[in-house]
Amino acid sequence: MSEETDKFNLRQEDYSLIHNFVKGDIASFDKLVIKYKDKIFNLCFKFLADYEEANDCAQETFVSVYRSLKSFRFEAAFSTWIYKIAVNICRNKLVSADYRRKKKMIRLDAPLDDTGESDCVLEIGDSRLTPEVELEKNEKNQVIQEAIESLSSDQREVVVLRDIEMLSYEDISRVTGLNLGTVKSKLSRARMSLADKLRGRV
Amino acid sequence: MDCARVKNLLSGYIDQALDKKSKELVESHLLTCKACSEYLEEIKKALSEVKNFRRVLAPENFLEKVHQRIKEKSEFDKIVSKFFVTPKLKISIEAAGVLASVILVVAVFRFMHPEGKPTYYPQINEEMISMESKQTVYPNPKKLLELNKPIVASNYLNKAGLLPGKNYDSKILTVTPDKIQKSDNIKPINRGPVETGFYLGEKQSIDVVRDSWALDNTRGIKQSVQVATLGLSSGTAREIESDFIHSHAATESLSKGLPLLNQNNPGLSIRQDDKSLASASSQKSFESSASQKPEVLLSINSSKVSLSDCVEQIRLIVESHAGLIQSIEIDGSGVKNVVSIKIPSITYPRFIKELNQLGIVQVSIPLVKLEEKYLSLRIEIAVRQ
Repeated sequence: MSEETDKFNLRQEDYSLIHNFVKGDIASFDKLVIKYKDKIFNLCFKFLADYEEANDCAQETFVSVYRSLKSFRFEAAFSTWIYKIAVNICRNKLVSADYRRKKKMIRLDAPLDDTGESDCVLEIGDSRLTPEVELEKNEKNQVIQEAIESLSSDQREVVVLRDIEMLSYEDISRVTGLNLGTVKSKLSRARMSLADKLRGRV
Repeated sequence: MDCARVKNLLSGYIDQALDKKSKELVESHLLTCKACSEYLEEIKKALSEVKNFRRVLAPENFLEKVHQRIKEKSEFDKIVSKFFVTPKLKISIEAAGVLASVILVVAVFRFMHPEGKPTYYPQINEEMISMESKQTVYPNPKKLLELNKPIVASNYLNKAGLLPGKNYDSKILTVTPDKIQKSDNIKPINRGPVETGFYLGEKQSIDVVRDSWALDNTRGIKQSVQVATLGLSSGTAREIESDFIHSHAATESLSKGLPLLNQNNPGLSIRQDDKSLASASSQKSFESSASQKPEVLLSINSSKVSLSDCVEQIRLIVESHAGLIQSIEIDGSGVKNVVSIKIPSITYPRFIKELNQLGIVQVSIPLVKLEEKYLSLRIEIAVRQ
């Protein structure tokens, strides 16, 4: 019961922030950003598996929120609404040429024959993770990350929304635009695939 | 009992989202089937791992960045709206009348003076070709030979007055590189930069684009585009190199770089790197191509485009390049047409590019010498079986 009350309170808090923003209080928008930035960032990162791209999409999500908040209807929760925007932005990113090219990048660490110039070689790094994140990286995380990445993008969406963000089936359906039956079947397949991938490895 | 069916229900079972009947079915099956019970545990384990999987937090400057982007976007919108504002013209009836008469007088005047009539059909003349040659930028091969040192991204940062780790406004800088990296695997005869640029976008990164082309005896034209993305925040950089031997970019660079190179290396002919031409026999035709009329072979898929449509499209392209159709040979069987054309040599790469864009299944491109001002080509169009 208390969980339901919490949900209700959170929703009311969002609503009053949105009301204030629409009336012209810019600080309310900042409060929304601060409240949701980590959730959205994490969501984008789970979808895209790339720190820079996730940062880009998460920022874009809030820019989009800023621009369309005036048309927000107080029917659904703000969280569902912002997830929906983020999911769409990430979907667009996944099909964008830039992203695909990035994923196909070839590492060029072959040494140069001009030994005198070796210090001038570009430092080639993996920019998918920043150094802070790098520290957290361990083998287990790597295995889980790979398992999530191996899912198809719509399977990844439902499993992230359900098992990481803990959304209800109905909310997942609203966020992804998939009907309830499809959400259930995709979730089932995604979970079985995760179980297969992680068997004996975690 | 069907294990596969139960496995499919396990996800709903975990979420307690099954109806009563399905739930009972799963539960009674799990009591008797060890494999399925184990599988359920595996799924639960996997999900708990995924649930506790590290969360990534937004960077500290996130809010600031969002503000910056909102500001940039609204400025952009302002600029765009300026372009699309409908001008409010106030024209009096009298002024409109005067304007109408002026237009009428000009029209009548042009009608009475036929030399004022515009030319609709492009015609080949010396002037047009020399004009085009002037616009083409040729790299200097001698200079290119010196450019064999590695490119240094950090130098470019310094050159552009940029410091890693700092934020900059979006802008585009262009500098000409003075050094280019040596590459062993292609053994270039000449290699040179076309363009290098920095792009400081919203992503806090700099893209150093190094675009170079190389020419060698065995493989033809190779264009390399190298992009080094320097993340300013993390101070890391990475580089990609892609070869566009078959790409439009290569044909584009053909049109820029080749005529002069060919002049300086008279022993070389130019061709696109094409597998069908890589064989020994085509190498032979490559050598002798100067004396014969080079042949472009097109294979078409008749379900997509008919022979006559293809000929018509080629005619349009040839004419748009100020070229001529010299003859069209139509084979009675309806599987092969041959079109002989003459085009200004300078337009050859673009001509090939447009042929490529016709959606024809296969284009085999001949080796041609671009020494003459005009180039005669024999285009054979065959229906692929």
